Amino acid sequence: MRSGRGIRKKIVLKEEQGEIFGQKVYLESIMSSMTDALIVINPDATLRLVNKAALDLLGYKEDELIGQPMGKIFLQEGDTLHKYFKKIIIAGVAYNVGLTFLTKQGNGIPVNLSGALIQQEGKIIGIVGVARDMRWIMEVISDLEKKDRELEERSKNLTRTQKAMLYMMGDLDIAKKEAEKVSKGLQKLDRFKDELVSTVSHELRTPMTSIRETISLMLDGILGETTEKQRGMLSMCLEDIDRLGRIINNLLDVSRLEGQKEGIKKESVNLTVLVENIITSFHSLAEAKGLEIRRDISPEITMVYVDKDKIMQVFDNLLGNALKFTKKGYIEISIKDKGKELECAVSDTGIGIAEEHLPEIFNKFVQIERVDGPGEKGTGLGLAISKNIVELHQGKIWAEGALGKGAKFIFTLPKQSPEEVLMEGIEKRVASAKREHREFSVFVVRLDNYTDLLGKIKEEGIKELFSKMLEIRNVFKEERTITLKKNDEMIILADVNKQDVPVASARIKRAVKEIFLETDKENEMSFSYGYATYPDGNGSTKGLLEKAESGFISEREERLKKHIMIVDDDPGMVTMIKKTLQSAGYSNFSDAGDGKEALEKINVAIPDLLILDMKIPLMNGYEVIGRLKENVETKDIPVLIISGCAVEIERLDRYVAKKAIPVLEKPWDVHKFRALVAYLL
Amino acid sequence: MAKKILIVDDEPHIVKALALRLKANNYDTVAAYDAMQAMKKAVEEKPDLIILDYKMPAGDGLTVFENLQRMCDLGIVPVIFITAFPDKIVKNKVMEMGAADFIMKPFDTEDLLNKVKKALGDE
Repeated sequence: MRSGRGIRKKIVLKEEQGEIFGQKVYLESIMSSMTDALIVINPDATLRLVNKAALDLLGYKEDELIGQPMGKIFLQEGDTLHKYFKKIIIAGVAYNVGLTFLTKQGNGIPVNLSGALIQQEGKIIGIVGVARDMRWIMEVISDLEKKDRELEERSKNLTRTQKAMLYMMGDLDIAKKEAEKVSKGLQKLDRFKDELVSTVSHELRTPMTSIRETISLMLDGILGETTEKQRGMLSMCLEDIDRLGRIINNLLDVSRLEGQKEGIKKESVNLTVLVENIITSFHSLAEAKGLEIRRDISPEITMVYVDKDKIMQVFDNLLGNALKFTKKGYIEISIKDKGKELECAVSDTGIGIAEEHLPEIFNKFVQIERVDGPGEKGTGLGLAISKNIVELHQGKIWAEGALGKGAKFIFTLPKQSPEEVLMEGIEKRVASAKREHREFSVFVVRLDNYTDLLGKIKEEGIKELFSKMLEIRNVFKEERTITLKKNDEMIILADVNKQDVPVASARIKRAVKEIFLETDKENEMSFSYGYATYPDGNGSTKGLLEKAESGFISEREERLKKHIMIVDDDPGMVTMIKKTLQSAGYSNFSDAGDGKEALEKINVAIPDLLILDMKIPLMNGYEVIGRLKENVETKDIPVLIISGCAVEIERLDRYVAKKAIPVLEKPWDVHKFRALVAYLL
Repeated sequence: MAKKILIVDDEPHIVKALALRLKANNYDTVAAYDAMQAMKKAVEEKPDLIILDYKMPAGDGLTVFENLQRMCDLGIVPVIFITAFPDKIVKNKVMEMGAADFIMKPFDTEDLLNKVKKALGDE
């Protein structure tokens, strides 16, 4: 039993030994395969075990290290090391320290040593440490440090630049504030001047009213009898009061013109007609003086782009002067085409103007010594106002003549083509958009088949069409500029931002189509459109227009590609509708035979137009429309209802009136059908 | 019976001169010097025509006009606006609002009498 036990013990030991041996091999293989350095230190601070990675790192052979004091492989002094290991011992668990290996070659390698106590039955038998080579991280750190320094340097530079910028901005700010102050001051001054002139004129008129009426009452004998001498004096007073009134009016005009508060509103004006009207208004006065008013107007001169009221005022002033200072002979109005400009002249056979006075007569309140004729006395402002008006039109005004030889007043008006007027309009917009940092858009609409149309609806028809088109301005709430560029092209200037362009152009398209629907019964009209938004096209006027015109999109081509869905339970009807539309050029169709199918198909591909029969199986037209209106994506699909005799007309009438859906009754007129489709798409 | 004209203006001199002129032309006149008085006199006197200054203290002529328009018996009384404002906008505004006529200060007597006649339908 004993021996048996002993054998058993032996076997167990052997087994244990075998196991230990196995474990040793196992551990060694783990240790040697580790990429991190592993060391085991004895309690007496000698090295007990160093793995292959550690040997490789340190450059020693195993026998050069085992049993050696651990100080051999560390750069740190014994005391420092001691402190570190003490920490490990106190902590009792794994503890990380940063140390430096000292290689055989004498190089230092930074390592992160993760050490742990090895204990057996409460006794410390050693410390195991895994050291990770930290050189890479040091590289990263030094790299980072380098970058950090660079960054610091840069940020120093930046701060310098920033500071400089801040100073500059400060300066700019001050300058801006100053400019704002000045501009505000100017605006204030301008407003003050306007208010002053307006108030003064109001305040002057009020007492003038009672004075005038009192004099008038006396003159009329309502306040008692007056002698002839008294009446003579009172008449003079009345004349002077009226002159004072004219001076006030003229002063207001000058103030407005000089402040350019009233910009000139150019329109197409028939100059011949304008001159005839002026002559008519002076007819009785001229006749009373026995003077003839002649005209010498080149027959080709008709339309000019001017501010009608203001140019009339100029003629009025000049003709009034001529009549006043002419006793006999005639007055002549002439207009000559001088190529780039028109030269208008009012000449008379009156007393003339001394040469030395010629340069000053256009100044305010200058009334040279001319013997007044009958009629209203001058205000000394008429010529100054005329000069202002002519210059606002970029023209020149001057006088010719000599004392006793009659006077001639000449002014020029630059001839402007519609294009030039348009360019001027855009330039003004560009300037104000620049000033106020706003965007604005140019839309161009062009009739595609102008020459064909000219044959059919004649020029008058097209003029009517375009005059209707001008109503497009109602599309927008603000005031817009709409100009005809050529006979077939229209330009719309609008305060529309880039992001609002699609909405605006859709509105314009809709408006044009509406006009087409009204005018064009044969559905033959088509148009192209283009647009550009300032500051596109290099921000130049020409560039802007070029950009708008270069991207012309044919509305017709765009429309013919659109997807039309036809819903009718009668396949014959579907075919017929398709054929009618195909012959007009449409090609993208889908169809459905009942309401359910229609909705299913719409959910897959949303059509651009739905041609709908109301009486269809499974789900009627009313419900289809109702379902479409519930969905954001489908609610805006335009619908054209096709009504047959079978549908209860009354209900449909009420329905479409409420929903504003167009209805086409069978049998339909092909042109009307196509026109409606074109309008809706 | 002579037709009655209510003259409304904050300038007594103008009211007096106008009243003399209109009386000389066989009209009865009543005067008011501000908006409050104007309303009061309009209700009390039931004039056939009102000559109304555009700008007055205690509510301007426009307010008087608007208030008159709301009253069923006075809403039909013709109103001639009179103003020293040389502004076309004022004229357009009051004419659009339904004024019978518009007179600019200082006015021409003949012009005034013609407009009064026209507004009263006596032409």
